[in-house]
Amino acid sequence: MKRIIAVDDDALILQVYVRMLGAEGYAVQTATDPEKGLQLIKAQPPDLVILDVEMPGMTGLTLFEEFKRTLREIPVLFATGYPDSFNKATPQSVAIWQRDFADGSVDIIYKPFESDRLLGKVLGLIGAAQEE
Amino acid sequence: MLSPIERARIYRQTRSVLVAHWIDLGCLDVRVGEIFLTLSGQLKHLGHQEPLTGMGIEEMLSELRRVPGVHRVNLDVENWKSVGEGIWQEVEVKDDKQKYLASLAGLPLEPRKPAPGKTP
Repeated sequence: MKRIIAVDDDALILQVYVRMLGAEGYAVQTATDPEKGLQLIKAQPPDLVILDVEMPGMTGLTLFEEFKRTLREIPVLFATGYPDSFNKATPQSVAIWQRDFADGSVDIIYKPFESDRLLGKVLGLIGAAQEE
Repeated sequence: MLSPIERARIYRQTRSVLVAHWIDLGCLDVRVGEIFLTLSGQLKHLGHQEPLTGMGIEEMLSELRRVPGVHRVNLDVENWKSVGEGIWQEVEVKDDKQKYLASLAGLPLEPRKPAPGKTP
């Protein structure tokens, strides 16, 4: 079974991930605190990380850069309610786009989303829950 | 039949092409089928880039067709329509946020049909 770690300061959206992706057979762990999320990811690297972009304390982009240094291969789905996260060019967002998105292992979804879009993005990044 | 590994490679290479063309992945869905690679949702550049053009779309489609394993590309997006061989025209659409806010407010996205027996 494939494992997903979702990090978002909104507990409600984390419940949505657990329900939607759990129903498809994925095992979903969650964290509302970015620091705790980072610990979870490093302790047992999952098949996919879903990251909110705007979080208090540590942004999703910074959390991403933290674990990507050592865990380069983990696919990531950024989930954001603020499309400007990547639509406005900052040195950090452009660097991540050109370095990490370019290899095809990173995707974005805008909140609110429909379940089909979420499942399609997850399938595209890591395949079905039971696939090898 | 495509193996999961082959399918994953096509997804990955497709995203790479889209990223190289600065396509906003957040509003685009990609599906890899046996015959078709289908793009749906909305196709647009990231906000800090020049707006996407029909010629830019054709260049991107041409690169997608060169991804090994992709036989045909089906561009079925809300905001562009084909008006001839290799010619694309932009179509105005409500963005997802507008649709969502309208649904929260209970506003109809489509004109309501009159109830049976009543004239509008």
